This record gives sequence, C-alpha cells and structure tokens, in this order.
Amino acid sequence: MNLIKTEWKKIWYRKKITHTIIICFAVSLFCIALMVMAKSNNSYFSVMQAYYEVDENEPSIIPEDTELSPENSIGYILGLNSWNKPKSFEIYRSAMFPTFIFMMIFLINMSALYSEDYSLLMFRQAIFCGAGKLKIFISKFLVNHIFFGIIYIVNTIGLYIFFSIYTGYLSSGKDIGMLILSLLLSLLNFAVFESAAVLLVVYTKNSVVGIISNVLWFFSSFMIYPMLHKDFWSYGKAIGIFVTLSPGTYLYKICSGLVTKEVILDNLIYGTFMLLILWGIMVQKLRKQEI
Amino acid sequence: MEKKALEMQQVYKSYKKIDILQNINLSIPKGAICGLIGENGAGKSTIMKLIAGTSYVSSGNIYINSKDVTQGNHEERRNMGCLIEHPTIYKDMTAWENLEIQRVMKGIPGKECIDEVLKAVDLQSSANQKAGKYSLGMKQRLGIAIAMLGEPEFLILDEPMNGLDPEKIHFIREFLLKRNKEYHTTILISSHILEELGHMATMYCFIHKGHILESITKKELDERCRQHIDIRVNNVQQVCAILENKLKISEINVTDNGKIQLFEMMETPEIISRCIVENGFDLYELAVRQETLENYYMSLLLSAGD
Repeated sequence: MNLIKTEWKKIWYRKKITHTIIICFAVSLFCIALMVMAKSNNSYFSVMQAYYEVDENEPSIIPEDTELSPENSIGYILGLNSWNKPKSFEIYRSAMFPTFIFMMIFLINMSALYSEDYSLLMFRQAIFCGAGKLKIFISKFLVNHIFFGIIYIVNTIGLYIFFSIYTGYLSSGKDIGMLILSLLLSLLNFAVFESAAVLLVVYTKNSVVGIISNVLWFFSSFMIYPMLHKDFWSYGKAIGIFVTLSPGTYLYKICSGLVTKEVILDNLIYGTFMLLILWGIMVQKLRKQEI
Repeated sequence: MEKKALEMQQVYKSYKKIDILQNINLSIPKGAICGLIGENGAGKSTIMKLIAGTSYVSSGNIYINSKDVTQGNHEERRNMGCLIEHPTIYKDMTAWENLEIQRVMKGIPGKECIDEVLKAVDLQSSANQKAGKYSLGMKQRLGIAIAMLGEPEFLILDEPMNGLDPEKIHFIREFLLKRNKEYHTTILISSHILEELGHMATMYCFIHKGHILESITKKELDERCRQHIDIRVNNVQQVCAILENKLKISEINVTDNGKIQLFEMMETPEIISRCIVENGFDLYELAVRQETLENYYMSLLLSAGD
C-alpha cells in the first residue's frame, strides 16, 4: 500500500505528468478540429460534417457530385459496421479515433518512467525500504496505468459528448454502455502494450528499445489487420499468430465499432493470457536481476 | 552476549565468472560504527549492496539482527537507511517532495520527520528548491537526509562525504556521531578520507581485491598504532636482552623484518641510544613513531603483496 501511495505522490509532484495531461488535451482538441472541419468526398473524417449538414439542411460545401452516406465511412468500406444507427456509429468512431495516439503517449510515458527509475536508482531506494522487486514494479505499473486510463476515459467521453452535442444526437443507454465497455477493453489492450514495453525496459534498462519495438508492433498489426481481417489464418500460420497476439488487432476492432460478444470474449481471454505471460517473464527476470 | 546488527558468513560474489568478493566474514555489533576501507574496486559497494538487498550472494549467508536475509527477507531491511554510490533523487522535485516520497514509501507517520532531517543536514533553507538545481554537496546531503529518514537502526553510507566542504563534513560527522550515541544506530560507512573515518569508526574492516584483509576494533587498532620507538641494530637478540636488563624495559616487540619496537621511555630516547652504543652494538636507526590509520592500511596492503 505504501508503494501505491508513493506512486500517486510522484504523479502529484512531477511536472512530467502535467505535460502528459496537456498533450492529451491537445490531442482531443486536434481530434475535434479534425472531425468537424475536415472535408473530403470519402474520408473517415468527412462523415461527421456531412451528417451535420444533412440534419441542418445547410448547403453543403462538399462538391455536389460527392455521395454522402454512411457508406462513406471506413467502417462501411471495410464491412465492419454492424450497427444500425450510422450517426451513433460515427460519433463513437470519431470519439475513439485518437485512442491510438493516447496509447502511444502512454506507452512512451510508461517506458520513460521505468527507465528513469532504473537510471536514478529509484527502484534501489524502494528495496532499501524493504519492498520486494515485483511489488515495486507492479504498484508502479498499476498506478500509472490507472492514471493514464483516467486521462484516456475523460478525453474520450469528452469527445463523445462534444460530437453528440455537435450533431444533436441523443445517445441511448446502449450507446453509452458500448462506449464504456470499449474504453475498458482498450485499457486492457493498453496494459498489454505497456507491459511489453516495461518488460523490454527491464531487459535493456533503456526506454528507446521498448518504445520503438512497441510502436512497430502496434503499427504493423494495425496496418495489416484491415487487409486480412476476414480470415487472417488463410494467410499462413505466422501471420495468423502475429495478428492474434497483437493488441493492435483488438484495438482496431474496438475503435472500428466492431464490439461483438465474440470480440469482447476474445479480447478478455487474450488480455488475461498476454498479461500473465508478460508478467510471468518479468517475475523470472526480476528474480535474478540486480538493481 | 553482544547483539549483532550484521553478520556475513563466508560470502562469495561473482559476476560473469569474475570473483568480486571471496570468503567475506564480517560481524558488526549493534551500535557500532564500522569503517569500510579499501581501494576503488575492492568490493566495498558490492558488500553494501548485498547487505541492502539490491544484489545477491553467489554463496554464503547474510544475517541482519540475527535473521537470515540472504534469500531476500525484506522485512528486516525496513529499519535500514542507505546511501550507496550516489543519492537517489528526482531532480524535478524539491528536496521536501523527495523526502516526502521516501517518507510515504517507508510508511513513516507524520511529516515532522522531514523538517527534522532537513535541519540535520542543513538544507531547511533550500527545502523548496528543485533538487536538480542543487550543488553536488547539497545533493549528497539530501541523499544522507533520505537515508536518515525515520531514524533507521542501521545506516549504510557509501562515501557520504563526497563533494562536501570541510565545514559540512564536520557538521555531518557530528550529526552521525550524535545519532549513534543517542539512538544506538549501527553505521557501516566507507570513505577514502581515512582521517575522517578515524574520527568516527569504532571498528574497521580493511578490504582489498574482494578479500577482507583484517577486521579490528578501534581499540585494537589504537593498540597497534600507539606511539613507540623503532630501533634497527646489528644484533637484535642481544640488544633486546640489554634493554631489558639494564633499562628495565618490559614492553619490547620484535617485528618480522627485524625491527625492535619499544613502548616505554618515549621521552628519553637518548638514554636508549647511549645504552646500545656503549655496549658495543651498531645503531642504524632510532626513531619515535606513531602509526596513523593510513600507515596501518598501507602496511596491510604491503603485507598482502601489493
């Protein structure tokens, strides 16, 4: 408990955390501007403005030959949209859009926090206080993950409310429930990415390797999954395992609005399995590691 | 029976097939101040890290308060304060915030202890200044304050006087001695300033290339280093007999290299020289000497083969 309190104190006292909050807020502002202002004939971002214009019966500044329909959205193009309410779907997707940016920010922060504590010998100081290494690492991870999670949830819900007001859409209980569930599932996937980053920091005592590897892992899965999402196992076992084991796959599904019962279950099993594996390796490494 | 704060039994430590420590046997009674003396790379910091639990022994056992902590019994380390290698501080936090974090981590109730240690290391006036803006000496004092927080029973200080000016060295030394006297705090301290250790330590442990050369109390060291007369003559046995019979000197010692050491008649060396010469012996050297800790350490190193 003392370790958890200590980590909260560190968050409270450190300027770096303030910077993280400011950056996340800036990301949200950027996302608002992007979603509302962006115009094109078939982009992901145009749909929000299109709905607004259709509802308001305002003359569209989008070229007349542009076909404005829910089918313009990437969700529809990729066949991922299983929702019946396109407006709700687009608000959800727009609010979830910056998820991957938040994940990058948290990933970099988590790696930096651990590598800094290694270089400043802060873990050593906790051991001097009689704490076990695993406890030290887990409490740091938990506190920071929860803190990042709060920032993420607040920002995303803020975006969702903004877009709902902007488009004049009244969310149903199901919409809100779906959003909250998606946020929690995203946090589970964040935890997998962050754990992998922390594990790499534990091995290398350096944040750069962890950040680069995880960003590559994330983007590679994020890039290839849309291309082969229908039946990725048909592309070979290696591709299948890679896609299955990447949290990017699940994040992609969640942010695209494909939150079926099957996806939820798969994600929960996957998240638990990966966290156990990653932290299991961490336990073994920490047992032998001299700090 | 004397209670032991620390006991290391046949401790070996190797890293990547290199022996760092070999057969370390060290026993520190409660309330003692043990000065760990050795050259750079001798293994002082490694011993401290093993005791503090950040490093592991290859074989052997470590006991703190008679409890085996070799396999990481962390509870016994709760009453320890450590400053090993360099102070562990967040540079973007103030001194007070750094100490507050340590206070919470150690589970010490009440924030008064922070002001107490800040005062003790003379940092109370700059408590709200970012630690990153501190000078080397101020950071070192903050490190000492962190180690001191919560009145630990056992303090491990690795080169604590590094970067401190003479006034602060005196200040910190007096504070440590006061802590040791008032709270019976056991202190394991290393320093390259042997004179400084001489002012504080109640026992010494000389370490060289991963071996403990000698572990002695201050009393024993004072005994060995006490003032004496060194004499070199052509016939050691006969001169000893004459000094015993004619001058009635009883405290005579003959060293391995054939030197006679007298521990009496320190004020009248001319009588001794006259006696030797008048009895027909050749006197090569006669000098009144007192060994310092540094001389003693150097002679230990010489006898160790360096």
